[in-house]
Amino acid sequence: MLTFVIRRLLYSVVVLLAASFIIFTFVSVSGDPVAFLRMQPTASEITIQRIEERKHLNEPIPVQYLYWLKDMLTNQFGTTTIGDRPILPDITRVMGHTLQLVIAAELLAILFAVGIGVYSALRQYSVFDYSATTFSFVGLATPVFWLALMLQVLFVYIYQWTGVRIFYVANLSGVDPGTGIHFVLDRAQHLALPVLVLMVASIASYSRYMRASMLEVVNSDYVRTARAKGLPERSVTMRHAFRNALIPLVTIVALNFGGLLGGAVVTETVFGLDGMGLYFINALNNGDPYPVMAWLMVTATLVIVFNLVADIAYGYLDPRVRYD
Amino acid sequence: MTDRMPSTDQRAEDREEVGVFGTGSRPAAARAGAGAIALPEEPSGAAMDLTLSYESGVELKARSQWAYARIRFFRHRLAVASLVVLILISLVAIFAERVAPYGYDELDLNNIASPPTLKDHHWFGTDLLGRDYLSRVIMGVRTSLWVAVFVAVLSTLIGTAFGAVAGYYGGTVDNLLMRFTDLILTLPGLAVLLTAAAYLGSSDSQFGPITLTQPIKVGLILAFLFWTGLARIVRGVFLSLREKEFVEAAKASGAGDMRIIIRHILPNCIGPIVVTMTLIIATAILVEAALSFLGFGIQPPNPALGSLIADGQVQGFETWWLVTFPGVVIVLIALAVNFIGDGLRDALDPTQRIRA
Repeated sequence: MLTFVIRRLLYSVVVLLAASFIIFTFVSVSGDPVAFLRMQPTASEITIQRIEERKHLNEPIPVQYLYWLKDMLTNQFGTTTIGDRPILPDITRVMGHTLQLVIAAELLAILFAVGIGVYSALRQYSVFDYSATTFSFVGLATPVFWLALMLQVLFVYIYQWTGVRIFYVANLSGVDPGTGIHFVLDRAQHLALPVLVLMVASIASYSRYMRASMLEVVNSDYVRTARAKGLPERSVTMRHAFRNALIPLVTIVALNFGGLLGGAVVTETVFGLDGMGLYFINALNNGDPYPVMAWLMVTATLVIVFNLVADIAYGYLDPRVRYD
Repeated sequence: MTDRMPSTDQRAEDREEVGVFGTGSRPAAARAGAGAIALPEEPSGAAMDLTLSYESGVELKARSQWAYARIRFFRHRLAVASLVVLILISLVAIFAERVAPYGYDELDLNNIASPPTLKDHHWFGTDLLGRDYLSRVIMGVRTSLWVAVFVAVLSTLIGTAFGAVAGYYGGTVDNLLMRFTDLILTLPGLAVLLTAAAYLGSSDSQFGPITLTQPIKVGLILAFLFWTGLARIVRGVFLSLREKEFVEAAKASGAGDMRIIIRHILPNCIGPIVVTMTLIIATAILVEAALSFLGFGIQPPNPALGSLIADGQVQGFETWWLVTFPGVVIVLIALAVNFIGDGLRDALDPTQRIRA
């Protein structure tokens, strides 16, 4: 078990290095972080030169990469190219926002998906089952950004017609969010639509997994045995079938969750939420490698950690699984 | 890039190979994530044919594998309906110039920001410049579909080649190729996609005599990330089949490696290959749309559904139709392709269906 974890982590370090080098190259070659300054008539030649020197922009890219690596390890991801702004505080802030969004969406999604999946499996081929299946097919075929936009349009129109503001369609907080319960309400009104968008995608895929694994369990031998013993149906489904059917879902959710912590890029972009995803897109648009790389390292590490968590959890929940 | 990368399924498969899922309980669960709508009843058609023909003394008609697959596919009503829809959409896309009532950039200054109407054929409305959105969507479908098919074909070729070589030769070759596949699979897909798209730029490139148009470059990036799942599937089939007697027989009769790979083993994995290819088309459409929406995918002046939606978004909430219609078309295509994939899975690979 321990060797399994260590081997995986070592392999992950290699992947991280490879990925960071590739992406550093892409970003450095494609964007010029000081392009913005060059167009400013007020920015002097010397200012630009200083920045170029400080960030070693005139060195070959592998050298720049090594400078970045040093900065990341010793200087908390370093600073942005323009403005010399420390990156870590920014990342911490946007991560907090993304966590609020993703945790809310995933918790609700799991709740709904488990309910839908189990019920569809128990009532296979019923109207409910067909509706749930149709919903998840449509959900999986719907682009996330488009769903987000449609909800925005819908709620803007509702506001215009009725004058009632149910949910906000952009940003994370109102102009004056207030404190205490007012702040929480304001935040909830802002997060409701993004959470809904993320939920739809998650429910669509989780409920399929849940249905399939529940079906498999319900038809297994030990469930038949439980029935044969004369256990009440309720106890058969809830204690024998349901708990085992949850196991595959753990893996899927852990993997997905790790990925989402990198920010629901599209959702955050559409709703203008100050989270990881928007941070990444903005950094990429500025062509500034340092924040992009900081985002990448945090995200990739989280994905690796959650993949590992998924595997370990699976082995823990299902004793038949062995690591070697 | 639909906020989650398409690799969830592939990861699950990955796991199985590492031995974490060593219980044999996975395939149905993982497969069903994508599949299992329509749940076609299993009529005892074959058995009935048999008794009838036996009694009436008529000989049984011999049917090839393909004939059976075709019958199974056509029994899947949703898949057939989807196929019809997709063929219609493709025809419209292919003959875009003749079908579209207006040119892509043509301005109809009498109808600026017109909502959807039958008048002057502005079925999908016009934007603030008076461009007809039906025509723009038709052109967009052409680019998006073409890129998606390109991605599917290319990644299928790469994936099949990798999987076949790795599985057939085994040993060091297998190890090397699969480590490389693992690496691609574990790369943070989203970051690679966006940065690579930024790197490849927003214009056509010229490599000697070959011109790479910008949509093709987007297709290349997607294909580079999408082939890994198929490579693993094909490798699995090859690993198990290369020990079989028919391969030995082929070897004994002097067939070369290439011939055995292509003529003897490959036809056995045509089912999963076709199904995966179909599903890649759907994923590619969605991912490309999201990329283009974010401004990193297909760039103007090339039309694409994703950038049409972005265009519509910029023009404000009053012109809701600009955002709505391109999206509806994306959903329609993705849905149709998924249903077809589902039908193909049932038709070509009956063993993969979940037990009911």
